Amino acid sequence: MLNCKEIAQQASDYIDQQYSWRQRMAFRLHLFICGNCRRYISQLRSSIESLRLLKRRPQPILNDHQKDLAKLLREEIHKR
Amino acid sequence: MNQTPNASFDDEQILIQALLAGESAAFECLIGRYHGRMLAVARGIIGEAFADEVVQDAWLSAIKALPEFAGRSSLSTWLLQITANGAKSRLRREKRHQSLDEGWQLEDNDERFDARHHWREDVSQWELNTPEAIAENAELSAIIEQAFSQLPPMQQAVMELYDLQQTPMPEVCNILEISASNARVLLHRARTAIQQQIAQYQDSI
Repeated sequence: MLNCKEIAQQASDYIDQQYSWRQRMAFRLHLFICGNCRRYISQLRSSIESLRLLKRRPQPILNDHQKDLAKLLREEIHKR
Repeated sequence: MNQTPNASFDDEQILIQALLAGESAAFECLIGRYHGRMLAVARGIIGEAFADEVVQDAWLSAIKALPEFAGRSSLSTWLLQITANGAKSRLRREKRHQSLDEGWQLEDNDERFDARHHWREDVSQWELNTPEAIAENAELSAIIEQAFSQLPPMQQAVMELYDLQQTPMPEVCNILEISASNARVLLHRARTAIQQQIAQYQDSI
């Protein structure tokens, strides 16, 4: 029987479906009886997804260094 | 200031044509979209000190090679591959031969658990409990962005590629030249760090 620490350590493998059917069942059995681990797994999923949402937002306006870089690259294209 | 987000640039072919035609908006869009990701990968491989330089060189090589870019992979994958290759050859040149594949074994002193391997404290229900609710909270968003930017470079690189770019794991390992087990441990550490920052905030509201 898996303990909470093992569940937490292996949570990413479970979320990413790295497990065989048997391992999945063992994992689910623990989640069935343990509210802490159920919440933990759900929080880990939400954490990944919320980071994805944040990073999907439109990019902020370029800083000066990036603007210079854009100009430089444009000149490179014109050199061809 | 006139970085007008051009929706048609969402189509890579249109973006590439605009780049080849030398449209400035296309270059700004390209850099806005990919510069951060390329930096994350470069930092993961070679560290903070040389990352900027490596990315700058990667941009120049990419732009030179752009007319030959056949679209066999996505633009993102292609740019990250060029960046990773540049970072790796720079690493060899710097003769800093420490392996990228070290120092990742699981530590066993996880403070969150007691001697019987149970949670020391209950995992509490989050007040903001959907990704949308979390991302809509400005204060928490800033905390998450900061936590991500402060991850150790290799953790950040793996998370950027796998979770954000959804690059398949074998390709992540190939780009970063690390083993699958290493990549999985780095990924889990990164995710745990983000989860812990969010939990800390949620406990305080």
